[in-house]
Amino acid sequence: MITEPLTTADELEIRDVVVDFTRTTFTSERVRAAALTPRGYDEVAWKQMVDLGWTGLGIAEDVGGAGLGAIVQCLVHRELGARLAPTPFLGSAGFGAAALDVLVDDDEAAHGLLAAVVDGTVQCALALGHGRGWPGHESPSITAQPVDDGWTVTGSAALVLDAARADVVLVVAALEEGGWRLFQVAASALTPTPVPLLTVDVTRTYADLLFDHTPATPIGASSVTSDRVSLLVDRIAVYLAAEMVGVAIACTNQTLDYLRTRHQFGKPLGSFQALKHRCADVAVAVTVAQELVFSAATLIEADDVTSLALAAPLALARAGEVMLHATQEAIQLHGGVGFTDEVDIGLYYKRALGDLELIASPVDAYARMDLVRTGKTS
Amino acid sequence: MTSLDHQVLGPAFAQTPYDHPFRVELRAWLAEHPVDPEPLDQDARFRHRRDWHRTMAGNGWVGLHWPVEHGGRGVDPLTQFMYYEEVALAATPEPVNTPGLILLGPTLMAHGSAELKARFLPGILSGDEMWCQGFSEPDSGSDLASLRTRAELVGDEWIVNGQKIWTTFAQYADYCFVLCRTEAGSERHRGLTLLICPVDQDGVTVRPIRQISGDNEFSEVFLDDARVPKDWVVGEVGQGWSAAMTLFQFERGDQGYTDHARMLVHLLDCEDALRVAEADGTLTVDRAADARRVQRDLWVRIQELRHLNYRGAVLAKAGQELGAVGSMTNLVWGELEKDLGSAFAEASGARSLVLGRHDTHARLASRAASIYSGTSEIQRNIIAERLLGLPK
Repeated sequence: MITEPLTTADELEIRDVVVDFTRTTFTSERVRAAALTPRGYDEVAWKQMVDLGWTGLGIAEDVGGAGLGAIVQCLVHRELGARLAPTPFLGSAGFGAAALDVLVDDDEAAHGLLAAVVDGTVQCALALGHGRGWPGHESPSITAQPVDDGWTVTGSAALVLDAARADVVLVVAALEEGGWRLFQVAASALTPTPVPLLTVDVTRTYADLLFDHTPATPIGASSVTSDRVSLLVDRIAVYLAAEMVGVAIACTNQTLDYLRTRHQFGKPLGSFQALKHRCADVAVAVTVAQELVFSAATLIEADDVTSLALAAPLALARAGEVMLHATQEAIQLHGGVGFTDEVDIGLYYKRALGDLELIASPVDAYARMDLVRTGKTS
Repeated sequence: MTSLDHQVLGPAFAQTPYDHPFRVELRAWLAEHPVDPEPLDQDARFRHRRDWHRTMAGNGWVGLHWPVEHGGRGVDPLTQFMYYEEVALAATPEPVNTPGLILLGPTLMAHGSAELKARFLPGILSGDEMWCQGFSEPDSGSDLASLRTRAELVGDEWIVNGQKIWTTFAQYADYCFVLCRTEAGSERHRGLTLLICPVDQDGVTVRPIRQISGDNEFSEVFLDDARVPKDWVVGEVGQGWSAAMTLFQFERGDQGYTDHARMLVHLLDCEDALRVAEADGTLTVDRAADARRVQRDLWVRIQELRHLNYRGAVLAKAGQELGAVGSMTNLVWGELEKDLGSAFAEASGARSLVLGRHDTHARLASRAASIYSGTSEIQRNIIAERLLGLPK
């Protein structure tokens, strides 16, 4: 927005390539058309993104990624959000890859799965067994049971992002002896077969998942603590927050374009001070939220888990609030056309509604932030 | 484990970690030099700040961003960022002489003669000579170029006549840098000169303006045949606008640096006050709950200011223009300062009506914050027109 938190020449170059591709690919027509296809996303564009290596940008080089880190990963989330790109990028290359990276130490299965996510042969989704937000004291919603020849998982997860068409569902399930473990469940093992939920956001697919002693394969040799699961939530919260910022920036820019060109009373709407001041407030809020998000991404790269624990819920909460405000202001500032389906502003508002429910609402994220700040997380 | 630094200041930044050697060095020095809290009375408060300035200056802890040749340490903006956080964490008195340290000093370095630099820079740094800024006039506020104060060269002295207003701490200043018209009949940006005017002389009358808080931080300054030595010109005669623009760049570059950490420390006081007021029944349960929600929002908003200040420091270090960040910081800072002042008072409920209390004073004093460095409305206009490209 007013500032660009990307600074290095490499980051700016990657940004320009990403922006160029997303602008020409995810046009309004194509985004709307993709929503009507059986898979619910733009398969051609998704394949191109995989071929271009986007699914591996933030993933380590030894498993086939480019190892460019969290800032570049966030920049891709931001730009895809800006175009409301209908792809499984956030669920698979964002959430899924993060779970494999954060919860599993040195494991061939994880490496193999990560490599498959990178090269597009596997599209995965992530089901968190503690429920929404960060793990707390609530009983787990998905548990794991050892059986003779392996493991099963039991429980449910509501509105799981990109799960309706996933090949593999990664499940973070609670163990009976305490702690958590990451499992993979083949989509074919799920009964009933997940069906895409019809939600307000047609650019996204969600599914409710049910697990009833469903065969599951553990990934990684050992269990992990709640703190480690929290670290995973911190990571994906920052990715989602980057997308939120992209949504807010794009709908604000479209609104500014409209105010510069639409005339009433013989002058451009944007020359009216009442509208100018609202735009200034939105632009400042979006700019600052973006600073929070990319600062948090820097903390991921620096592996500063203490600061990240505070920065991630802060970024998610503030980006969420600002995104909602920006999309609502965009409708109002567009006037009559703002609430019609003729312009894309409504699509941004509905993406915002979906994003706010994905991990934690701003209220819940702030509550988490307070717990971390006062040292009451455990 | 969350440390006290994280609890108070928030998440660390990559380039200014809490265990940075600079922080460690400054913390050690501050720990050995405890200082009393600021008194409420304005005159006492200024003296307290000035004394602390001198203590710090005597140990090389003032003007760190100044070049080594002028007595500073030549530190980069990120080190300054850490400096301001550390002095705030130690609850030290607020800086004084900022018109000299941040504005006139660096402008002298850029435009001043060798003689002026040698004469004035040491006193700015040590705090032996205090400065104020004579720019605004009764009819020239935001529209500075319309100013009418004039100076005429008579013999080897400038004779200055006119009126300045909103001059901060003029009553404590030894010198005022005055922007005035030195070419008769000139208009707007032409024919202006930046002069260094001694305050303690017959031709200068300082009349403090009483504020709703009871303070007199700002003054009217009347110049009636005030005398200025011929050579006390910053830059060239007739090139005052250029010198003023240099000065504004320094002002925008520094805006807000100090304040996020001071605000976060202040917010801790608010949180403590709220706990006390809730425990002793000063506040009802509902009012306390509302105050807690407001305080949490404030913590988030101060984090936002902090991130803007950090971004500003990163950009400044890279030698980039700070104009855009400056307008945003100004807007965010001004609105925040007011709400923080109100929250401080709200935490003690009815007690904050009683005079002689810091919270009573802070609420009233903070109302000026979104006005005196450019009103929030002007900032929004600047952001909308210059940064977002909306039509005039």
